[in-house]
Amino acid sequence: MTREALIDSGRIARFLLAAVIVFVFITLLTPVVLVVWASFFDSSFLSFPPPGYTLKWFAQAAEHGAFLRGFETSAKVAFGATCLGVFLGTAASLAIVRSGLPGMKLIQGMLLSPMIVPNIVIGIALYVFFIRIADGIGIDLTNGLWGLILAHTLLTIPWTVRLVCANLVGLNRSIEEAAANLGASPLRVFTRVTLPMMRSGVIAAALFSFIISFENLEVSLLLVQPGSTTFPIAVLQYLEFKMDPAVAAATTVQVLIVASALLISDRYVKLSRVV
Amino acid sequence: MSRVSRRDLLKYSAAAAAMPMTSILPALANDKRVVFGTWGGDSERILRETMAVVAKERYGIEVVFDVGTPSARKTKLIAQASRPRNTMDIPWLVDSDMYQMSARKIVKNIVPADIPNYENLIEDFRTDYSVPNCYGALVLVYNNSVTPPASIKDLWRKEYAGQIGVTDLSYDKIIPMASVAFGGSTSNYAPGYEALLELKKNGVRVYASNEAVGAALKSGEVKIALMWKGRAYTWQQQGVPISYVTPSEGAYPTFFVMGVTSNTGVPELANQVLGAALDPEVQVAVARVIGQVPTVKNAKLPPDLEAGIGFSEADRAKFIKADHAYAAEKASEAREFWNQKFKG
Repeated sequence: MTREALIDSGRIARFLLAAVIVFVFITLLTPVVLVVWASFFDSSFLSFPPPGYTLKWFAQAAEHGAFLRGFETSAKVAFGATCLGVFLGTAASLAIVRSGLPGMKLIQGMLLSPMIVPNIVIGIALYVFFIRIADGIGIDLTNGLWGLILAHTLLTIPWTVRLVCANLVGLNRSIEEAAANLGASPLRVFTRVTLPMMRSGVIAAALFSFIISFENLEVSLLLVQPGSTTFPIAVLQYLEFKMDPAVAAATTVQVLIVASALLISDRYVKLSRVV
Repeated sequence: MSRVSRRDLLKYSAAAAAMPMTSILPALANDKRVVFGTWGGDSERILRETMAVVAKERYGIEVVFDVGTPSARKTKLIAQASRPRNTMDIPWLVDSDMYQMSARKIVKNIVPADIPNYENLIEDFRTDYSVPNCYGALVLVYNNSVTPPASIKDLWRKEYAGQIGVTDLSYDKIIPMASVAFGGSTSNYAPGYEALLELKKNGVRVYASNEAVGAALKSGEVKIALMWKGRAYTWQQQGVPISYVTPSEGAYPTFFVMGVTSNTGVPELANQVLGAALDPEVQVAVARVIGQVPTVKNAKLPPDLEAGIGFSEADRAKFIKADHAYAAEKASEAREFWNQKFKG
């Protein structure tokens, strides 16, 4: 093959790669762009083209108490499930990767199993389980946020285990060994060397966990306590009676908040390196 | 300013962390609390603003809303059927779902004398186990540019081919409606299945939600629909060029009914909340917001709303009467027909 032909094939490959990247970005971003666009439609019906544009749906979404209450509950539950899940998942990941004990692969598989069970099945099973606990020992986890937080923790642990295990496997252990050789105690090695090196994996796990918990619908449907609701449930219930752009407005605000949180996080940890 | 010591900080943090724990311990006696299982959205909002206020002011009862899809609420009810005390005191469901709950003894028979305003409930709507607080019915909705249909059977006319839209979730009403139109009944779906396959050949669009049907009527994608009268009225008010008519075979009603769980701990309070739901002012407010018609004779809608969503005595007499036992027996078969043969 001549040099010119090689250059031409290289250009074609680069062009194809760029085209695939653009296609993927368009596929990923189109739904978000459409939701944001629809939130400004001046029509009760989501039909194209819109007759005009307005900001009234944002005001209407703000007045819909269920969206606000749902947002607050979802944020609390996601925060609690993220803290618990990342703590437990990180500890489990250390044991799986570092302990060298037999059966660790099996334990890893069990910890990842909630990802392959349909969420609605998890929700029903936990609901029945919580009822049995309430009848047995008098602690009612279906009443209050703790049941929901524990249920969502089940969803956040697999993400944490996957991400932190991958991170741990890639760590250079010679740095920890050097610290130990220089006289650092095991606890000091862990807090001063291992944990900082795991930072990117733990932060990625926390981000994914928060998002997975915040947007969960199926598990929450059965476990949310009477008098309370989560944001996804509030959206679903709103859509049963109306399909106007107020839902798009509420979702746009959610997208903005999540995007802002990601940008703020990026100031402290470069997300492109951890995700 | 005094400094917060580490010990204090730990103490306050522990107290804050323990706060949510208090709710999972057995509730301290809150005698006047009734948990009401409901849809969310506008239906919850209007009951919160009206029925719950009446229950509080008149009887001192705090109504707590347990919001969820009908499937989630039914699952909760079934899972708690054998418990000493159900966490849900009043489920609010459609009549066919409540029939199933009654058949499983999850809701108990009501005692009319214990329910305030029960005497004003329209006699035809009464059952042994439920109290309907509002209702609606599927009617024929058509774009003003087409020849108005008069009967369910008219939907099969060739001039409407490809112009009909229905909602996916209404299949359990559309099948009996087709059956009634083609010689069957709500206790014999076979003629309906056959007729619907013919309608499929003519071309019919199935939409995921009622609102999607509304958008299709607005855009002109479809010209005819089987739709709830209340929705059609709302769309008409929003400028969609449609009209609607009760089919000559009769409209297919759905009643939104409340029951009292067999293992509620507060049966008297639950009856009082049912009474609040039958309050005429509450029912008129519900009609204004979600377009469902009052079930008590002393609730008077404004004339324009009555004309838009109401049903005359003659209309009510012609309602297609559901056979809930047959519908429950044929539920799987009907769902499979709809998903595999009609939509597939």
